[in-house]
Amino acid sequence: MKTPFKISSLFLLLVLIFSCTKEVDFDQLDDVDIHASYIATLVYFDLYAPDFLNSENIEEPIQADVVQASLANVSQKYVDKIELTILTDNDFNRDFNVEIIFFNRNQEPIYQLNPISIPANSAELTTIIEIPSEDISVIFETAYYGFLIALSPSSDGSVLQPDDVYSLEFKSSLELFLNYRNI
Amino acid sequence: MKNSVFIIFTFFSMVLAAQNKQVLYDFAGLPQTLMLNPGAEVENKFYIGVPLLSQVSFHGGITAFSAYDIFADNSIDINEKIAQVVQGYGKTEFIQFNEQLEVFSGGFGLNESTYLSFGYYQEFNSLIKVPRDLVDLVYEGNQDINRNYAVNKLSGRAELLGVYHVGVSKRINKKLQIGGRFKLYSGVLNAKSTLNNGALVSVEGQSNIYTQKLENVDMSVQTSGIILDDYDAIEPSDYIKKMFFSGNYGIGVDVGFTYHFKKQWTVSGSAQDLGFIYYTKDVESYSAKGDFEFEGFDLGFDLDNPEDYWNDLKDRFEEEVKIDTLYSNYISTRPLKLNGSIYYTFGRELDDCRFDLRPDKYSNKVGLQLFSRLGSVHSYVAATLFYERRFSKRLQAKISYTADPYSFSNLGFGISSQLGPLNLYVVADNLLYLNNLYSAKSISMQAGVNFIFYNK
Repeated sequence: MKTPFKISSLFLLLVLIFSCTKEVDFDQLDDVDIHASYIATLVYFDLYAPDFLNSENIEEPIQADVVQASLANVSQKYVDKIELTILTDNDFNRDFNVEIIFFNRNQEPIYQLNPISIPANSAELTTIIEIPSEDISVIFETAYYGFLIALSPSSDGSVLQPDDVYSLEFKSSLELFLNYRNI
Repeated sequence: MKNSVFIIFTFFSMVLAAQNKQVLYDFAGLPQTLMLNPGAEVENKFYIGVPLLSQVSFHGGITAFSAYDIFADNSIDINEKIAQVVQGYGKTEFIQFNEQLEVFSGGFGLNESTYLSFGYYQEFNSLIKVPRDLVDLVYEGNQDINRNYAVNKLSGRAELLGVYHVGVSKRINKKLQIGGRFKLYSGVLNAKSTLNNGALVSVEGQSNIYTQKLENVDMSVQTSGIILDDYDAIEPSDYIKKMFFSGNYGIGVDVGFTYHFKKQWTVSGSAQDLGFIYYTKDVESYSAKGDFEFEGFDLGFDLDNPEDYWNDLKDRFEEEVKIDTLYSNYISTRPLKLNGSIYYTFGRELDDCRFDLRPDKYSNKVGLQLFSRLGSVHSYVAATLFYERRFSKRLQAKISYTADPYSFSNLGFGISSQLGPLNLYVVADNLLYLNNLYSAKSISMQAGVNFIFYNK
């Protein structure tokens, strides 16, 4: 083979074969541990004294509502922890107890968060509730979220009147902690 | 005239970015230079490329990081390396891959001044541009209140096509050579998403802790040949057939020139793929447009008339953010590539008796090249300094130094050799990273074998 052709061939060999690489380790992907967190706004409400009275103005101390929302199609692979932040402002002169109950698609209760106690005449109060990783799978089985607001009886036996101006403010958000590992 | 030369050169320089083949451009009179500049000067009588081997070309790159930045086998934890890469991520970075395979090619001189070349090649190219906001959204989440996580610069394109082409290079006079190439495109696969707008933002709420908004959402993606009813029914051979006759056809042209504006000074320029493909087969496009604001579910505590919060939210979302699926045909313009070059030649080729072996020809070439890719997804510019040397009629070499979005120190080298009619050329760049390819942000290489026949 003539020299110029040898040179070209040699260059091709140099580039294709003798180009080298320093040590890389793609198995390091197994050690990837990236943490990201996402906030999402949740439920809110304002309840006033008349909301706890029925049409005959008789006190009904329990209010309830249900939000239907299924996360069955959402991947839970990387979800590490869920944290709920709840802000309350209660100027009733009575305590409240808020319960959040998770129901499955058959409307059977499958999980309940720690009840939230809201003391009487409490200004803005922050409550953080963590759903630990071992309980997270429950969220993905949940089809309905039940909210139960219970007004505690007064210490002196008095009941709410239609012209009372007390209010309970409830705000909430959720923070989803993801851990991308073994990607 | 001199002013005209510089105006033309400046135009090609200013608008001059794909697959930069900076070493191959105007190199050694190779037939393949006609694919980069149909107005290039070729001296052969005729040539025929070895089928499937006359040009194998690929270029791949990521502007943000190299594989070695993340996977280096050292004592640094991979998570720390990823954090460093994210920290150094620019406002927008892109990932690009291009591959071309010349299936057949040939060319011959029609007469003293006219050269005809033709062929067919297959091409795949993709480019995805990812804004920093999206990287942060994935890597950190959305906990930055009041920050707009915008998709404004998110865009991408991918296409697989076959290209039939025929071109003519014509010498007008001793100084000027012009050329043009007509291309017929056969598009197999296409996906394109450009001009996206929109942002996700969380702000302090009035009724709730946060209000979350999707603002000015205007996103779209067009596809052809990608969304299919039955993927199992598709055989690889179907794609090969489509490469030749897909039903998605388009046309384009390349134009170029070479002008010797002084005895030893030359300017050249070209525009490649000034054209489009009209996609009509398996077309499916999606668009989303609107604004949306969500403060949370406002509980009403009326179990006698329960509200369907979730479905009401979905209905409101669908009403306010219009998501459409379209099946209409569309036109996709090809990414336009522009090349410009100015160079100085020197050094006579003399025999032992000091006779000029090639009158009016010189053995050395030194100059500046500019390359630009102009596309709806992304445009970029690269500048190259080069030196080319003709050692003999059997051996030519070119060395180049390029600054482009991947690197400011891209050293390239090309060599073309001739054994009888058999020509072998090899061109590669980023040679400074040859000792560790993983640390290169981009790699490109072209190689090919031709049979080239010269006039005696």
